[in-house]
Amino acid sequence: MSFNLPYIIREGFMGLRRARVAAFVTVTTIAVTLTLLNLFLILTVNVRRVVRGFQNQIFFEVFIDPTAPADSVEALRRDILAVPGIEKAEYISREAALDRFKAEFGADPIPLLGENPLPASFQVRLTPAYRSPDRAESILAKIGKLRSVDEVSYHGRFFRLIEEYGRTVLWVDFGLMLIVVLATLLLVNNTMRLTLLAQRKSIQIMRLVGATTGFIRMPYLFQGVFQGALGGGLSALISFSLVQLIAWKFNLRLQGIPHFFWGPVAVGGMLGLFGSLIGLSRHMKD
Amino acid sequence: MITMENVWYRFGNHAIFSGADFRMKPGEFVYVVGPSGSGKSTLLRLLHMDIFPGRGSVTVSNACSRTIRPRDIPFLRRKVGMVFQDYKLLEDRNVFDNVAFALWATGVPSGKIKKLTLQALTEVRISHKRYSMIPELSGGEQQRVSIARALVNEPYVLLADEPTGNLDSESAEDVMRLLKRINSKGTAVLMTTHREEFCRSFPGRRVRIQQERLVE
Repeated sequence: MSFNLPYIIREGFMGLRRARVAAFVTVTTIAVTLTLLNLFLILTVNVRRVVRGFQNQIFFEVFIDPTAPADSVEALRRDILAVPGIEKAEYISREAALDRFKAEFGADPIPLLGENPLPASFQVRLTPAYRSPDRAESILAKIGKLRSVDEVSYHGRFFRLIEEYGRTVLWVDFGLMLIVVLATLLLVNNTMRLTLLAQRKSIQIMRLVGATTGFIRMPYLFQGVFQGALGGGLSALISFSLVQLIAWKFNLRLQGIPHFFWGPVAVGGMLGLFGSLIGLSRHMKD
Repeated sequence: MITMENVWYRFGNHAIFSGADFRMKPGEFVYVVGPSGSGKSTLLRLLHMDIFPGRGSVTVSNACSRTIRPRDIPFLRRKVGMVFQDYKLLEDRNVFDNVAFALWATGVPSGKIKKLTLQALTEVRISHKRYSMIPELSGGEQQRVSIARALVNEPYVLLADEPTGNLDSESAEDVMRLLKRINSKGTAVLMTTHREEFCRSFPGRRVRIQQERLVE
């Protein structure tokens, strides 16, 4: 099979002109569906960034039993660090805890209570691999059983909620992606059917004069890639403008925008290519 | 160059060929005559490997219907030109593009296409109308464009299915003179017709389809 690029491009554009209504509908729909996907992916990147920010803040407060002997602090530190998934354990003495309380609330509890009510503790941070609610809770159980530990404090419910929101966003992304892929494949396939119907005479003549099936298919593959890439390019322009507008209007610093500019062109082109391959295998036999 | 041996072909319950044999040498001019529905077009489709016999074999040049692979058929067709009664031209393209189309489609380098197309159009004497659109041409002119398209790949044989069927007497004779001239330059021509008067005016071997066989 020879590869004649000028011929492929010329015939490809002629085919699009002949089935222009179907091609217009295809490009517009690809642009709209990919725009939706783009916007949601940008939202996802930013939601994930927030979730990751919260996950980095996951820590336990391990309160030391007030009746424990003073020399048990170092032993407890060693025991805590021996638990897998612990990055560091910072000791907060009763005095340091009081200072933090005063800085945070602007009040001194000693005149009211007559003594420092705050216990000594360890502020325990997890390694990145353990910063998820499930893994954090397994560590929590292990630390709770250590000697000289009075209580372990952990904001598990809040972190679990954040994690669930992040997961929901990912599922919606996945669903949208599936819809976009299916819609694009169906549309390109349908346009291909209409184009092949409009050009059945020229296909018959090409076969008569000895064109190979591969050669006949090339312009149609070009059409599919072109429609997909054009739809993707339009979606990139629309979503880029919308995101810039939203960021400016609400004074947001959004991430991930540059990746979503050329991405839709490539994704659209690939979907167009697969859609045409499916359409050709269904509607143009050897 | 063309051999049909014991060819059987049925269309539904209707037998078209039952043990038909036929031979054609390079450079020959052969008429296939017979009434409508006798199988003249079927014969050409068998030779063009568009359809295949139920039994027996069709051999064109070195390609045999029993052994040819589907992917090799396009390469055979480049050397077997085909002309139809209804011309089968692309009406949204001009004369030049219709002929050049056969070269584009067979992967001829673009640098050679213009020269070869003009040569073929000159050969059939229609090069002066190369920029005319197909609907602007008379039937005879359209048939000459169709012949130019069949010739442009320099075939061994030209298969013509009732090429004068849609033409008035004058245009039909013009097309016949053209086919004879092409034949005199060495290209074999196999032409189906129901107008037997041509066989007298433009001599050639005559083969008749009779009782599902080809007879001299």
